Amino acid sequence: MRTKLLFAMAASAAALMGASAAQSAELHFIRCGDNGLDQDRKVIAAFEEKFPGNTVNMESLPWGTCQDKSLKLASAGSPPSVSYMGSRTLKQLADNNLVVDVKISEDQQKAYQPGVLNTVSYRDKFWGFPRAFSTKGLFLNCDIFEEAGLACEAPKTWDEMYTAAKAIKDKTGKAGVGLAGKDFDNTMHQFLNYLYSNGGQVIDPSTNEITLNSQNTLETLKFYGKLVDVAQDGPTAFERTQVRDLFNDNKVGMYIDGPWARGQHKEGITTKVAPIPAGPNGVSGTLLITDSLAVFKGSGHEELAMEFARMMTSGESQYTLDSPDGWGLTPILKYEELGWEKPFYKDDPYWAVFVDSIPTGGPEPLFVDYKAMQTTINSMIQGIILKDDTAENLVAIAAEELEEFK
Amino acid sequence: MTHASGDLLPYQGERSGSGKTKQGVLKRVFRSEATFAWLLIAPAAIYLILIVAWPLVETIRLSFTNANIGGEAYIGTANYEKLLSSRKFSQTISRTFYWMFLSVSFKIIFGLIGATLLNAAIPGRALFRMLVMPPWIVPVAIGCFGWLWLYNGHFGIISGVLQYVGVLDGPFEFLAYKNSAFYSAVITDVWVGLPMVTIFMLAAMQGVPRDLYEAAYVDGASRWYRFRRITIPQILPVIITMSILSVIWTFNSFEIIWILTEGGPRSATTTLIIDTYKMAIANFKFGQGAARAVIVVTLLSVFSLVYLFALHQIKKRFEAA
Amino acid sequence: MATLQLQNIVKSFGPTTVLKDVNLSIEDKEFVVFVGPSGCGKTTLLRIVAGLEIASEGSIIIDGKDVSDDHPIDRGISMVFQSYALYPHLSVFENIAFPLRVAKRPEDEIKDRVHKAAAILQLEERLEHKPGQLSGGQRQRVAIGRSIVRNPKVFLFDEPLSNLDAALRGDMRVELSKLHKSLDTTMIYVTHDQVEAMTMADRIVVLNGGVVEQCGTPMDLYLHPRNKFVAGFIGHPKMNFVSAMVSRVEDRLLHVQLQDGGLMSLPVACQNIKAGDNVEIGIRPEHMQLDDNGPIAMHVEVLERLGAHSIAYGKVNGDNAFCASLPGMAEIPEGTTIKLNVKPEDAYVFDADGLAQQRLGALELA
Repeated sequence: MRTKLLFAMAASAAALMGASAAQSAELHFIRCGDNGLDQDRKVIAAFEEKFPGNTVNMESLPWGTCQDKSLKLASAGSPPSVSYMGSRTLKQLADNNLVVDVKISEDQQKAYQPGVLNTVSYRDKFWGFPRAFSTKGLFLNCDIFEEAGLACEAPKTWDEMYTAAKAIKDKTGKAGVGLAGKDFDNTMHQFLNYLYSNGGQVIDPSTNEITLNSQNTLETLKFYGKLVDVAQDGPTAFERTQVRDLFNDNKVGMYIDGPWARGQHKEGITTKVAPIPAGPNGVSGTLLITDSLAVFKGSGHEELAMEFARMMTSGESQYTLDSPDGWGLTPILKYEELGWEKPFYKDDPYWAVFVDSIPTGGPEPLFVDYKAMQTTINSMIQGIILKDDTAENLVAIAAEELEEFK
Repeated sequence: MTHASGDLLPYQGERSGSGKTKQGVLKRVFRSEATFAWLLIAPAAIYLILIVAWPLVETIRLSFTNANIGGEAYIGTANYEKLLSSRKFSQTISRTFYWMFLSVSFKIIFGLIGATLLNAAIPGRALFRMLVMPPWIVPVAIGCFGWLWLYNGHFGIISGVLQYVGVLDGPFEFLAYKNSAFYSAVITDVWVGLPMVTIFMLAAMQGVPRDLYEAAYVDGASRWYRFRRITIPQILPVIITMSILSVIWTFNSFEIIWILTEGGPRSATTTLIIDTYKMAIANFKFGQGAARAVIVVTLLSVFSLVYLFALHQIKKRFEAA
Repeated sequence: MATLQLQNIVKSFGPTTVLKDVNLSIEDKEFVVFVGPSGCGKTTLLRIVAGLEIASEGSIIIDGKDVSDDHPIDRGISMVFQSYALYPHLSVFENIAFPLRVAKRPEDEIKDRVHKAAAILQLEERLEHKPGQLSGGQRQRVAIGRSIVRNPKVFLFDEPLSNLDAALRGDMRVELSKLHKSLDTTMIYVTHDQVEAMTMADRIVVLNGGVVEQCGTPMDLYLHPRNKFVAGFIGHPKMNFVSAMVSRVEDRLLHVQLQDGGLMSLPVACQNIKAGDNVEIGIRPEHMQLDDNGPIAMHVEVLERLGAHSIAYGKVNGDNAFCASLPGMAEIPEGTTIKLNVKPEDAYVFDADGLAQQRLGALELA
């Protein structure tokens, strides 16, 4: 009896606090990285002006911890109002009733690049405002191609890619291709670029059926196994950023990275970027990844929070983030249709590689237990890299394990 | 207890009769030794309950639930059944014991050798003694980042030197392959744990009276004979203590593996502690993590009991001496 | 069974020389005691004999063989340490058996010899105990047991009784003397306690500042100390010294005037002493007699009554510390001045360099 009474008191107290928050709320906003802080502050100022009496407490955390912190706060019952989350986690958050579905206007929906909204859709609702978007391209180090006596021409197929990589390995002793194989999200991401370029899929979003165990996956995994022999030693110790370090150090001929990579390549290296080579059973594809601003349930001011997230992810604010002055991302909105006369990617062959591949791209697979899925896929990839098992067995085992996490 | 105890004093009855004032009550409270003892213990007891007992009970409770990021529900012993029937988990357990066995053996053996050398009358001994300390003084995380760099195949010094002398014909990523990653982690763990073992053994060796060695020397005992029949038995309590403590520390060793490999590649360096962390903290599966934590606690309790038993035996054996 | 010669032994630790040209010859079956104040080099000398230290110069010869560079085991010595150096983790049996185990003797022989040694030292009941369970005297005997089990030619003892209480020390002195007789071997024994030296030694070697001051039988040292140091060191209570001036030198008689005026004529054969020289007269406390006409006036400060005799401590000539051993029943109030006399033949005379003059009256006792 007594505990019930206590609960009732606590609940009414919370309700009171919630009511007062509606009048003057302090939004807790968690964001990642320290790039673009000023731009976010501008949006916060605009928001506070538009909704007087309300404030935004912005917490900027390192990339490695920002999302976990939000999850921990949410599972502890004191969620942030708005938080930057990988869109892949939205399914899990929605299923566990931790985030609210967000309303995106018809006009805004139309302005998104194709495929973007798929990454935040689940059960016919949107579970976050798409915030950051990326597609991938294959970067070539032309100096190494030249050293190997090759013309710096982008391989269009896997066969061409392997031939070039092997030539580099044989002629220069350097790695033809750089592979990421550490148990990190990017290892799976890199693999999915190849899988999507070979017509493969992990899960069918419409039926929620695991489709990994296919000829397409098998071919992709085998190709990966082949690439290992012409890649840098020990891919399982590498994340993408470390592969980039090797590329910058003239030790790797080719690797896959996002559009931001141009700004991170060492000066003096001649590079070239091209779409991901096509596999025998597909056309050049790419992984479409988005991160979103998710609105957490239980802050007591979800509507206001949604308003804030909407301001963050639209118009000038979003454009600034996408542009090379911001994070240098694949444009998430079709800015040319929104009134920008010459958005940064227009008529630029570099950006064409990343923008043109959007229609043939595939989403991050949405799983309820995303981390477990990632671990399973990574284990499959590491399996072929370490030659632990046959590709057939690795794919079959992974597909079976995935059933538990979908 | 008995002599100072108030109830043996002849006038106790009269005094407690006048103990109606506040002062009198206090006096009585403090005169009762049991009450006073409890008052003194209370802060520590409360601390232990908050910091040890409650989390432990909570962990055990969680281990019978499916607690995760979205909530929790009682599921009986399902977590344990899953663990005990899992081949991966039994591999993790045997890997943990292998890890422990290797690391502890190396620490003890090299600790003995190191302490013996440092104890020998060699020139520059003081300098060598100082050189042993850094791995112990440097924060583990910083030391591990150093090793991460050493093990790096493309930029690291070990791979570089081995290529230079022709042992390797290309870069070798020590942390990329199952065996090399495992043994690299063992080496780093030994590196971190060795100084302490060495210093404690050295201290024990220095505590052995010089006379014992001289007496044995006069009796014709060789260096090895003296080491075997004097040094070893004399420092045996320290060897045993350090072995068991090393077992506990190595079993619990987390940062080293986490910084070097995060348990990879393909679980090659996933010990029980890493597995528990990954499950509970990294993957938010608190229930399954708690079940692992309970197994960790159980095993550690067994180690601790062995430790206490060994201490008792050692005490008994040397008490007379 | 061995003789031992030390020839020109010098030992330096860095710039410090602790032994300066020590020469010594020890006979077979002799019990020799090295005695001297702390820091005199006696322990170092013993450790050099043992082989625990290497002499900077000189040779050690045992049974005619130069063993200077030999390992202790090849010298045929065994040593008992001041701390006993028992192995705390081994039983009494194993402690005694240790040298035999090192020598890899057969099990039967080890048992036999340990039991024999234990019988000699009355340790049979204690063989299974650990050293920690034994009394100080028993530990001492275990240490001795370990040294005799090997039948060495020479036994070395480094202050073996210093950790025992006075009563036990007395008993152990007697036991050690008996042991020496029963084992019938050469023993070298180091102590700072002249009582131990006097009671046990066949011959005493007095060391001081790394130099052998004198070497001789206990009574020889007592009666004919070579110098003031030996005279002061041997005998208890210590010998008194009073300054005196030589008034006349005869062939076999020396006339002196004590500082406070008393006159004495002493039967000594003098060398290099002439009238007017300053000398020191040594008088042992036990040679004092109360005599109202005696030449020595002593102001008594403390009187110790030991029963058989009483020992008076006080001053002569104002501030010269003085001690007299008097009959047990002597009635001397503390704080009074007494007159003392000494038989001329009991007095010692030392010249300005501290060298003793030959005493004529004591000759027949030697």
